[in-house]
Amino acid sequence: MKLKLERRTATDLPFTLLVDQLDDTVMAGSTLRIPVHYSDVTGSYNVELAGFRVEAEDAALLPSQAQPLLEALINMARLPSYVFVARRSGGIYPVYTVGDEVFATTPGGPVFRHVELAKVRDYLSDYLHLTGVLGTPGRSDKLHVRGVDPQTLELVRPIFYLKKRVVGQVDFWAPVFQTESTIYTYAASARREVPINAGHDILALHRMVADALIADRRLRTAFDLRPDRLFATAWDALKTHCTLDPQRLNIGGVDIAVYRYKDTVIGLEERTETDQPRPSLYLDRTVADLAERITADFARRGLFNAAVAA
Amino acid sequence: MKRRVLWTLPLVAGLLVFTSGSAFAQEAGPTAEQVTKQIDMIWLLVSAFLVFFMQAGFAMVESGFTRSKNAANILMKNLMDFCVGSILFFMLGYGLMYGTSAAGLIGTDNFFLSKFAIGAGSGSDWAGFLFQLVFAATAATIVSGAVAERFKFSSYLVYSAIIVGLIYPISGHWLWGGGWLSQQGFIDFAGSTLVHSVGGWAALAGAMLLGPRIGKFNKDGSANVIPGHSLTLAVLGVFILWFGWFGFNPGSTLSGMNEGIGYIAVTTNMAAAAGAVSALLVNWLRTGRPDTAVAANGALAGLVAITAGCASVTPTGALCIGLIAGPVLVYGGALIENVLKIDDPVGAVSVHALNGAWGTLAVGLFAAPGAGAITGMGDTAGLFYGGGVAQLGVQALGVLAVGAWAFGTMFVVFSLLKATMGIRVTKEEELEGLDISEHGTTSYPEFGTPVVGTPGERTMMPEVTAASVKPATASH
Repeated sequence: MKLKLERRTATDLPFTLLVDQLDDTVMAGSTLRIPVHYSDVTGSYNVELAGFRVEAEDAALLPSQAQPLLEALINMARLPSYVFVARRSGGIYPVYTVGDEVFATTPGGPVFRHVELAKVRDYLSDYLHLTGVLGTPGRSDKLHVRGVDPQTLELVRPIFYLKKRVVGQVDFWAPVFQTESTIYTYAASARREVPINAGHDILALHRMVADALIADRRLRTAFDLRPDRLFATAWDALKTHCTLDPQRLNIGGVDIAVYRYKDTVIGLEERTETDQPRPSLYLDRTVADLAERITADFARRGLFNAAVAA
Repeated sequence: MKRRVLWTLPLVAGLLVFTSGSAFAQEAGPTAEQVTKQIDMIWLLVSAFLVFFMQAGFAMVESGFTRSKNAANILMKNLMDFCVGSILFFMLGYGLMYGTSAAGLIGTDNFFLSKFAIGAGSGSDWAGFLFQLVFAATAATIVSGAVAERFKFSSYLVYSAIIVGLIYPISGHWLWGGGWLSQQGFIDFAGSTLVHSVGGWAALAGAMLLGPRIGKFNKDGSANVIPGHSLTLAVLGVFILWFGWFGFNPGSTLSGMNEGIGYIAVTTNMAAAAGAVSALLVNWLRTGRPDTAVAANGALAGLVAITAGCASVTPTGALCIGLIAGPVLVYGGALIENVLKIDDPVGAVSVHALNGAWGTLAVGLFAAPGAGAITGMGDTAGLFYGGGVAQLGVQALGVLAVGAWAFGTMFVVFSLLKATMGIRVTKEEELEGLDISEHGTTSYPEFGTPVVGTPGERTMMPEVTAASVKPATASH
């Protein structure tokens, strides 16, 4: 492994940290280009490696400081493809992809391995709660998933999640990430991927995953699965193909706009996350069915008492 | 220097001629009976030393398949199995196993080897005791792997004393002590059932009562892999065990004059090789991966399975027994882990209990009169050699009786220990590792030990203390 700095002209990104000679890894032959940031506040240069920040007042020191961290991040001859972040405790847990499976390793503990990232997160989260690292289940830290850009090692947020939360059924959850030309997720023991298509791709991927889960007997109806916490840009793209229905729903005091996309009715719940809009969608065949679905989900989330509302 | 060596040569030659001449002048050569007896004793001792060396194999297998933070603990348990076992088998076990039989159930004398003379002509007794002792210790050490990484050391010492002092000798008496199973015609030449299944069923009882290691099973019931710290050690241990088995099985002829010892070595080897290959292939088909640990355990499964019938079956029969031992290991292990939800870190139950049972039953299928003729096991014929189902029935009776005895008594023993001394370390001790919490030591002080603040420790150490390495903010 060889690291060197390459000067750039931008003032906020004055250098790029080039990493090559990644022999003995699956990245052999490729070069990582990790942006070096400068912070006026701390007066230091920093790089972010899969969520871990290395800082130095002198940029020339960054390669020697970053190298041991990079070497430690390499596991099973590869860098992590995802990380789980525990915001409150500041813990970061790398996740590696080998073939169709993702792995989270714990020093001196189990290896959590599954085709679905969501399962690995559940297993790791349970273990970290059990061992007291994340506090008490239910009242403590959650693990948030981030992708790792394979070229820059910067963290990438999921553009949305596909989620099934139905009372009495097994939960399903899968983060969706974006490449240059596709969006993809892991579900039902395989990578599910569709080409980016001006917003249509969101519901195309939803359909693909829903069909796979139904075939796997893990989903009764495609509408039980819904796109959740979309990037505003993703929703904006999808919205251009939808028509706004004159009806609006008000459930438990929450105003829900209703859209139609082909033969599907979409209910839009405006949500925000770290001050950014992350709308969530509910899907169904008719507005009445949609209202019933949203009511049930709001009750499940404890937003209001469905029995009282009824 | 060279001159000094040349000068001493005639002197040494002269001394040799003088001493050998005087020896011949004083006594006649040994009789054929004396030579035979001495060969038998040497053979028995060599076999005993080989079986003793299997303790090293068990120690390597079990430490290799478990985590580095528990290496000293598992080594200590293996060491103490032999040490505690030596004392208890001397005091009590040997007498219960080979003492004068009471109703074919239990030996009643020769405790502390009190009936052994210390004088000329008693050499074979001592060699025989040592040979039986190393077998007893083998049964004890099987359990440590199944209860690894969470069993309290103090309680383990009590368990070890009880199995070698009481449990193993009593069921051993039923066959090798001339007890009721021997009168039924039960065949277990070197101990698929009497040694390995006893250890395996005890391991099952212990693992059941102990519960799984932290993190072994998820809430949805699926199992996680908890990798051992050294496959190198584990596979080395398998080779050592395989090597030692050439004492375990051929040595059970108890006679170096038995012409069947080479034959038994061949049947032993065939089953081991077939067990490894079939376990590898079955697991490969099942999971899509040729798993090293499974193949290694497959060899042990084949060895355990052939132990009962090594002197009674043909090499082809041994091959068949080994080939079936592989699937018994793989599917038995899956049953134990995925259905029964029992955490057995090294696969001791499927290797020793299930394959011990399979191998013992297999004698009723594959016993061949020709094999018995060369090894001295008589003309017993199994089902596939025209002997009908009678022998199979006797074998099943033995498997059930010894299995029920070992599992039942050890379940009670472990339950009593659980209620009194406790059998499981605390959650904190388990996470910390038993090396530190039980023994105040670390097996690998210079590597593999988590150090707070090092980059490699990132996944379990949220508080990264090194000034230059900070977790970045999650949001983008």
